[in-house]
Amino acid sequence: MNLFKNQNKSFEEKLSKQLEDLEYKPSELLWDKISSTIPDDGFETAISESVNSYQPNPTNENWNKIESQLQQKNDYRKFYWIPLLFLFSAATAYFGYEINKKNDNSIAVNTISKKQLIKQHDEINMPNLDVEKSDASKLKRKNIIQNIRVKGNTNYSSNSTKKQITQATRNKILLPENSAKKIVPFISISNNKNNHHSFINKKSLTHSDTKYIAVITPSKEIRNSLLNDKKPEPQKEITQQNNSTQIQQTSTVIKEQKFENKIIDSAQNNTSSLLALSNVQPSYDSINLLTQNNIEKKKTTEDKLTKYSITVLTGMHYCFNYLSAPNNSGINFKDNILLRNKLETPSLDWSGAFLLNYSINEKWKISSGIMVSNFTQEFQYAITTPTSIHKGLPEVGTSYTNSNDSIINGNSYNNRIKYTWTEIPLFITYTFKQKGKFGFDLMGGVSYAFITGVDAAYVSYDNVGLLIVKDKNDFPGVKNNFFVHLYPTLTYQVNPLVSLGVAPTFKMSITSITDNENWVQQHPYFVGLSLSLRRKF
Amino acid sequence: MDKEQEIIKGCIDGNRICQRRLYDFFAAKMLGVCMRYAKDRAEAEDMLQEGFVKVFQNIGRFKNEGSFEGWIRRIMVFTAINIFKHRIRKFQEDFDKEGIDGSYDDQVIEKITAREIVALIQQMPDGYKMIFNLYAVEGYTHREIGEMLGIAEGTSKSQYSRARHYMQKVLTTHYHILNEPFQEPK
Repeated sequence: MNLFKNQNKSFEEKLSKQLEDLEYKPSELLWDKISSTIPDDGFETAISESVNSYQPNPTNENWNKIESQLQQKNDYRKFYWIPLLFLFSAATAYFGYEINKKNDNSIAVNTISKKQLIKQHDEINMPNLDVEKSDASKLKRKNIIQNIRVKGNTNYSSNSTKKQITQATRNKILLPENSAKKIVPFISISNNKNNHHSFINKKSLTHSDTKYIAVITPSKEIRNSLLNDKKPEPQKEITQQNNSTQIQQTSTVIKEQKFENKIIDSAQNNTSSLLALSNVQPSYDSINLLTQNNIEKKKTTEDKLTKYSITVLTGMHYCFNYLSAPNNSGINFKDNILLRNKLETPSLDWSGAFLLNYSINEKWKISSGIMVSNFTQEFQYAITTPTSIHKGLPEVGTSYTNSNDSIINGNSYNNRIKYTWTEIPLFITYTFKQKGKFGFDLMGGVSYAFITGVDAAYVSYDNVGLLIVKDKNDFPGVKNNFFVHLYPTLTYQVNPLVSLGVAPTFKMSITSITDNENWVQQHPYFVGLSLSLRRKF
Repeated sequence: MDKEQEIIKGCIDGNRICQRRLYDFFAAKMLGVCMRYAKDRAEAEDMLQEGFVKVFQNIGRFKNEGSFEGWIRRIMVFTAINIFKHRIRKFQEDFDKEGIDGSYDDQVIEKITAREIVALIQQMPDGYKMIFNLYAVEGYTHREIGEMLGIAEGTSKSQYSRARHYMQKVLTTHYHILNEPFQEPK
């Protein structure tokens, strides 16, 4: 790309532009002559002393204006953090909801109250369901407060009905809304695979055929009391009418005790003894049948997680810019780069990302999503009369200030260099072995960055004048680029599904952002600290 | 910790009471500074308001190097310069044609009040007024003025030379018509 663009303007136009800001530097003799006309007669001292004693009082309105302006500025600062707060709040709410939802899925810790049970049965189209309270007094157990007998109707033995109920039960019965965790039903399930056309038949009602899918083990005291007491007779009431099954269910509920929940597989455990121990009546109603999927889900919560997870990443960083001279330019940029390195100083800014992760295996993950990065540098400078011959503007039409002044190191003027990118990242994460809840991940990768905001000023190539760059197309141009990222992350597992992370951040542009091969090449880089929140599915 | 430091610390913390106390303490003095750079009192008050907002926003940057009053004053001057830069880019060049009355008497300035002098400064052309204030009143060098205004040092010198003669001329003129009703600063 040619440094001197748009050279096809007419001669007169170019000449006029060149002469517009032309200023000859007068000789030193002229300045001496001017200075000699200013006698040292104390005029300045007298004026200064006189006017400095003048101190008029401002009106009262003045303070009110200042106060309101200060309030406004504070409000703007608040607004600056609102998107971040919103992001965190949304993420927290989402994860909180997901975690609660997951907890509700666990039948071992949830209660289906009698009332709810009736309601749920109604919802899954089980007409004629009759819920009766069994004779709890027979059990005479201090901690057993409630038996629920559920009678199924006679018309739901088809496979399609079973399927329908299964679905409904999974969604409704086992996930009761607002269920208290004080009353916990024991639920068992028929394992008679041959009986496809009815949920339960008489033959299935034996302990050997019965699978426990959830066992609630009472505390030692309760267990002892149960063992010492006479075991009550199992309550079985099974009738069959018109080739269908009438179901009785008895659930034993233990209230207000600390329970230890266990999920066991009937194939590996002796359910009979457990049954006897806990004095639990097997239940054979449709509800229990349908719980199997959920129980298995609970049993293998971690195993059954999908390979996907999401990560919210945000952090603060200091912004640096590595400047280098172009390879094939005829201009010597050495002094320009030295000066810019002095004038442009790093500032703090932020970045954030929303990533979707895919676990290739236990150790490796691959992630992508969307990322926003900001870059800010302070730009302080001073000016003086040109110390070198001005070589002219690089391009007609370029925004230029102080075009006849040499830019020098100083802090007379404050400016800012700001870039914003929207990135599409591709990261790979290696997970090291965890120790307890803590672990270590090494995440790295590249991102393609679209430049979305530019507000900068560069010292011109001959250190005379400033180029104002307010748009990516302003000379010398700012282009999209690739960043390389590295996040060595210390993780803390809040629960099997959620983990938090903190990571020192290093990120650098591997391609120049300068869209001009004959201009100073810029490679922004960042050093900072990031926080992450990861949720598995 | 002395009182000034206490107020400064309060301002850094955003304490509105401390900000008000700081304002009350320096407002009159700084309005005097702004009056010299503004064309009238309304503009001076706007300048003062903008300057104090900058003071409160940047007070954390005050490094206790030099006096605090000097720091505030510098902010007011830079605020005035920014306004000046937006308003005018060219300096006066036609004053020489009017000629300068060389008969300036040192006694004149002693017989005119500060308020009258400020009013006369306000009536100066913008370019003269800025350089005259910066050099004669604030005490900046021409090199510093050049940096601040974005002009060459020589331009500052020549402009000041003209502004000085201009000021002496109006002072003398005003001195001779002292008996006539004086127009107060707006």
